[in-house]
Amino acid sequence: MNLLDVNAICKTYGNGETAVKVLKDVSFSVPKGEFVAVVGESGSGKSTLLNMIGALDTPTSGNVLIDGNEIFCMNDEKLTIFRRRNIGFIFQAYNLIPELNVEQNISFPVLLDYKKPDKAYVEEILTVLSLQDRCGHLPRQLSGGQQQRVAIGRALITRPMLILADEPTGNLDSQNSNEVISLLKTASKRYQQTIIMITHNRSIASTADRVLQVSDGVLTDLGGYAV
Amino acid sequence: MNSYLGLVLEYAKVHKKKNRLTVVCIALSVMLITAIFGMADMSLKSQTEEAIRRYGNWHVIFSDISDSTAGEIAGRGDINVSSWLGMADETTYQGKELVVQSCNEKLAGQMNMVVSDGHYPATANEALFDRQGLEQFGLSISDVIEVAFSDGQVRHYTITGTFRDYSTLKGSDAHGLQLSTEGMRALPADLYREYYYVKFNHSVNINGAIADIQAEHSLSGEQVSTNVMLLGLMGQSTDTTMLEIYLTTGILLILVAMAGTFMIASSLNMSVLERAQFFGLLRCLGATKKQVTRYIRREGLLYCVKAIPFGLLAGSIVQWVAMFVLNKLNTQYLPVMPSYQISWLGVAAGAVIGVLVVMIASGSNSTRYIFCIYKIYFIFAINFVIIIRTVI
Repeated sequence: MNLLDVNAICKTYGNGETAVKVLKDVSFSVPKGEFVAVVGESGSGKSTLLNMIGALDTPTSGNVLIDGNEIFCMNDEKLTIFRRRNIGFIFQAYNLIPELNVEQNISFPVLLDYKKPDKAYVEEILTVLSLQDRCGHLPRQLSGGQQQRVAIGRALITRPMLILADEPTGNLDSQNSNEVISLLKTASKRYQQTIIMITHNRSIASTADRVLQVSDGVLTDLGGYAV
Repeated sequence: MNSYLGLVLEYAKVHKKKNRLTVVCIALSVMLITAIFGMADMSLKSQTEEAIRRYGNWHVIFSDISDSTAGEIAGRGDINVSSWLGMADETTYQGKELVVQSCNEKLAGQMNMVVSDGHYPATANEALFDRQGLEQFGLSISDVIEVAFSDGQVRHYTITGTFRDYSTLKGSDAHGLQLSTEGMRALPADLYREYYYVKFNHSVNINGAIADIQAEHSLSGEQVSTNVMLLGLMGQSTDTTMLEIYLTTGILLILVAMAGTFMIASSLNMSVLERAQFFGLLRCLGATKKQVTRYIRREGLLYCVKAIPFGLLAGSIVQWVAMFVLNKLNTQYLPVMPSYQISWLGVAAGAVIGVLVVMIASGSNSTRYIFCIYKIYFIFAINFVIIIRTVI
């Protein structure tokens, strides 16, 4: 069964002569538990596509179904709650809340859902991400790799079915990049999550189950399954 | 942290300096509003006290009315004190001017005539004599005083008590003999005139009540005279000069409230706008618009908790200092204003405008609502001007 169905998504910014077509009729599906990499040159529309899938932006036409739910038919509040519970985001710039420590950053999405964080699960995530001895540290006291691990932890805490990662290794050196990818893969297997990751790094992309190629707003390669 | 709103406190802990500017802006606005409203309140209080001290605490005088009309007026539910006040023709006692008056004990109290020794005259030949007079003429309570009236007759009154001198007597080097109403009415009719004094209850529409009495008893305008000064200070005068003062005061207070609102709303808007990325991040993490609004509102509440008490205290101190300086500098033209008194009107204006504007400015559609507040101020000011101009 497909977890994600992207159907004929188009996105145009501006209008008239200044209109820029960023995505042109993009369609693809991702089954549950798959780790998909999206590659393409800068400005090809990868991040816009990810933003559409994560409902951070709305398409000009087309629709996106996550686990059978047509997300753009939901009102703003319902969509936000759906996104909070079902989609985890990992950004290149980490986007941690600088005022909160590691543990608080990881627990924050749960608090937004008016729930108490499951202490055992937080501990487990901290252990998996090797952050146990850093849980009281603020983001500025951590290295780039550690901050990205916190961002992964935050994406995992609500046990989302889909994780969207926008160049999670873009700011990291090769050792940290490998660690982060390895953690993402481990998490995806352990928690049965589907991951869609944008990357420029071909060797990282090669570790994914499938690689999608975006060129000038068009999905040119639906990707073969890596051996 | 048990709730996402706990981030408000965590943020405040880290950004103390940044928040301080917003808190100071709110506190300054509250201080401005509290101090100016407080000064206006205190000035009004002192002038009211002065007017009562000088002219007495009454609202309207009816002249040339019958006892039965007076009785019907006294029976109204909106009247606090009423009495005939009699004034005898000018006379002298041992070469000094003697003011002979009468009224009931309740009205005497309102006219600052407080019995300090003895008791209020109850019969026709009993009277109160002022304390300075007793001392000057070697009289004491229960002595009999002989008063020669303009009809050539000498009448005898037993002194039943004395009262503290009041300013009118002191100012004219005169003495006062206070009779009971019966005592005044025992004089020949051409020796005195009587007027019916009325003080209404609190929160009565005095002009409405007077018009009602006039209509009910067919009284002409000449039979009615009001205590213009006191009614003016109570905000119930239709006198042109008073209305001009209301207009100026009202416009000034609206301007102060507008300035305060502008300062608070601007500082809060800036604080929110410069953190657009932060609120965007909260939305990405799954905060709904309502949750972001609630977050900003909680921040506003935190600002209120820090800024408003400080603003109210600072406003009261500024008001005290201003009063002290005014009292020192201006002893001739203005009555002495109460020092070190808290103006609850000033405090309430500062707190209400402060909390209201902070909470509105921190809510969703804040710009629209703040514009609404400005609109209300403008509409209020314009209507105020129109109403007063129409009356003038």
